[in-house]
Amino acid sequence: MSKKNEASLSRRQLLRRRFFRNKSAVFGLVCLMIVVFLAVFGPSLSPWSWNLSDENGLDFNAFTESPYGGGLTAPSFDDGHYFGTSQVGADVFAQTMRGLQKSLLIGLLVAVFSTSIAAIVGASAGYLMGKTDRALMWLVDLLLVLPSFLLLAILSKWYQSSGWLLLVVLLAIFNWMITARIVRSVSMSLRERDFIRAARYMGVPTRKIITKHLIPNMASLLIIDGTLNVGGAILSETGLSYLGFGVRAPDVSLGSLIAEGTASAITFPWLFMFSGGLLIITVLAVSLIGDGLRDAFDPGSRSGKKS
Amino acid sequence: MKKKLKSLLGIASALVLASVALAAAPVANAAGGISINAQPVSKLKQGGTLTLPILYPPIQYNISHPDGNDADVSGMMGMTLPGFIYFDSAGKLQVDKNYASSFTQTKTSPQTLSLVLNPKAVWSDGKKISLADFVGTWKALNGKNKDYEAVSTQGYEDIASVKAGKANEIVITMSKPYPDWQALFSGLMPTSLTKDATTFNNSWREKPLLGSGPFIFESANADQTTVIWKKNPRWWGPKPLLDKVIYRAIPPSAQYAALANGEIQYMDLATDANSLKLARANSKLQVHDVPGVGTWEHIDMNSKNPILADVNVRRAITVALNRQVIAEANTGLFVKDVKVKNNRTFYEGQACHKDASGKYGKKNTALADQLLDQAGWTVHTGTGNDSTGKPKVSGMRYYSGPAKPGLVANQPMTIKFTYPTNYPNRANIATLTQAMLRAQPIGIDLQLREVPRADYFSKYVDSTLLDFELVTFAWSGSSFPIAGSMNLYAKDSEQNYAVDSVTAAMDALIKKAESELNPVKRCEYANQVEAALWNNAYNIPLYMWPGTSATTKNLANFGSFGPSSLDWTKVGFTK
Repeated sequence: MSKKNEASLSRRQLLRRRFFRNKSAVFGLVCLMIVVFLAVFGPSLSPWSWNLSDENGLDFNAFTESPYGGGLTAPSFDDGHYFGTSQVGADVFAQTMRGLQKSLLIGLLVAVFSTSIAAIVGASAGYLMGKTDRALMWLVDLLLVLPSFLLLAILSKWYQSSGWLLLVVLLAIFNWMITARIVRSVSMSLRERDFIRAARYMGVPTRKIITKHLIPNMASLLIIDGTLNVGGAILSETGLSYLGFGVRAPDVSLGSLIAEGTASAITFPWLFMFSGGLLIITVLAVSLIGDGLRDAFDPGSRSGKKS
Repeated sequence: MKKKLKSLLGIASALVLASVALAAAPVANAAGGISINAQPVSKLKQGGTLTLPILYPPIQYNISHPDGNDADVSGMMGMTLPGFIYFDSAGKLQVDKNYASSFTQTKTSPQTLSLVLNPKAVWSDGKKISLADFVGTWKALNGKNKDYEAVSTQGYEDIASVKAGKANEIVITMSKPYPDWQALFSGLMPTSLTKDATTFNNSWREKPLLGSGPFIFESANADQTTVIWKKNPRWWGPKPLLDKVIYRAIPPSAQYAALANGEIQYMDLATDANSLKLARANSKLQVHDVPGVGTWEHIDMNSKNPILADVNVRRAITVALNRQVIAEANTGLFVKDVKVKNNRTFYEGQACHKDASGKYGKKNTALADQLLDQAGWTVHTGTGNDSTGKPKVSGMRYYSGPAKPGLVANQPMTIKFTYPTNYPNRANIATLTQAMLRAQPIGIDLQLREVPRADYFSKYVDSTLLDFELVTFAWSGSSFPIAGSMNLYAKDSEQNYAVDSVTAAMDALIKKAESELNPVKRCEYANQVEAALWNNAYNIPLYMWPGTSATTKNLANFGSFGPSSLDWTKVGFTK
């Protein structure tokens, strides 16, 4: 495509074109769409329920049909166990879909929350400078040196009883600091730009400058970082759930399913490979999309550099 | 007073007996449950080292002390402490001729026992095994001196005197009939261990200072994760084949890899389906598939909990569970014909076994529904808030009965199931119980509470702390089933986890079964106790642990012993 042609396109069209030219990003997008589709519609594709207390939660026939013993049956389409059944006769497909739903939801929410916090804190610090900057950066440094994973593990008793939304908030609280630092340095350069100065001298209130002028001008950075944060958040959540500090039974997440299936990875692989595979695909897809977005926003930076 | 039993294994044994398996006369055993790669000794190689896995490093080698009451330590001490009986390959009780030429009951009133020692029997320091050792053991374990922290005083508390008879004869006179008298003095202690309470409680914590059997203690590393046993040079019996037996602490999750690598030659497979599948596929290993005869898994209900104090609630929980499914899930990979356990005292195949479960033995949702309604727990429909101010959940149960201590109107029926981390089988039981109790129309809000495996018995499942509502663990079977079992249910027993579920009438029956000498009547009493335990929903027996194990193919006379005893002098490797 010629330079001239590109210039006549709107910025949005240009971005779209650059993004779709990137094969790995498109691959990531397709994967993510499939994963989201599964998370949303997966549970209704199966005659079985993820909730073991439901009437169709446990398949008691699996116990008589199992060639291995227990409730274990390999994946098959005959009785609707697309991913097989577990030792207690639970449908692995229904559980995996539910776990995917939970992990994706938690990942997305954490990314949105933590990127928002990062944007507000980073922009305020970078724009206001002085004492505000010192105080906020002190907070960032403090949170950075805290062993967040350990703290979450210790707090797990408390948040596990009050529902998974609290887990989202806590994960977000420990996830925004690096982005905030990048945002701060970008804000520091932006605040000296003419349009910000003009706004300031015209008497636009600080809050408005930050929300209306600073942050929109960093949108590309925030979108890229937010996307990459989704992958990190999903990994944090699954990590916590794997160790038993995250989502708890009777609810499931990819992490808790992987934890249950690890021991059977070689012997009864269907207990492990679907949840493990979906986790890899999801995080990979999100990362590829993030890289694609970065390349689209900033063609000068090629994949491999830190945004 | 009986001392509290502490178990590191998850199996507190009812009777502490080293290296003896099940059932005294009159309880005939189901024969044939043995798979040990039996070979004549002449065909085996002289020498070799056998390495066996243990779960935890030993913290006490005195197995009569609560800290030493652990299956691993009992196994080790079984090769060195004197015992006067063993169970042959048919599961029949025999006198161990290495130690005694006879052990008989000579008079019934007062019950008098005669034990004739083998004059060659000596301790590893050269001293002869003598009357003084018997007197010392009796005095340490009879409960008279509370400073001796004895794991159990059963039997010994009923001894009136221990005296010398004719040459090498020990005469034991009982003050009260003790039907399982053959269990006495198994794991006899030397006088150097029993001379005073401090010595008894503490002197064998680092290492056993004396032995007598085919193997004696050689050394252990500082943290006791490796314990080495060597041949006893003073052993007078048939010479053992092995040079050394080494015990290494290996967590269950790592045992299969160790076995496949040849680091150990044996592992217990009773609970791990994944290791079982791998072992079956490994041509270097032999899997010993035998039905279980000892350990059985059950769910305990804390009768001190206000909700579970009501017998109808406990009955409802018992019949709300599909025990067959739980048994299938956890043992279906090991045994073909999975059966639930319906008798706590006897296992299927024993002469006295009887299905004592009555109407509470089968899943019956309608009955559970009715019993819960009777107890005042009704299923919620419509709107409204519970006693904590949260909106009620439709289909779940809330209290609407008369005010009782610990129960208020509209209280949600929330109970917790406590189970240990890294224990898939117990997590399965918890998951299935939760699913079955939350299902309609039962509607009990069962919550799962996973606690660290190392703290499971010390902080939660403890008969004095009782920090649980529902909990699952196992009891190991006893060589003397009635005594072992009754010891779990007697009202004054420290192994009783649900004292309030035992009525005075039941306790009287338990006492009768404990001291009855007529074997037929004794079985009857024991089964009457069983029926009463079922009727009062004391606990929920689930299934027998399979007796499955795996060994390397070259190991002989070792594996799954079923109801028979292990003979250390015959264990060896093929040529």
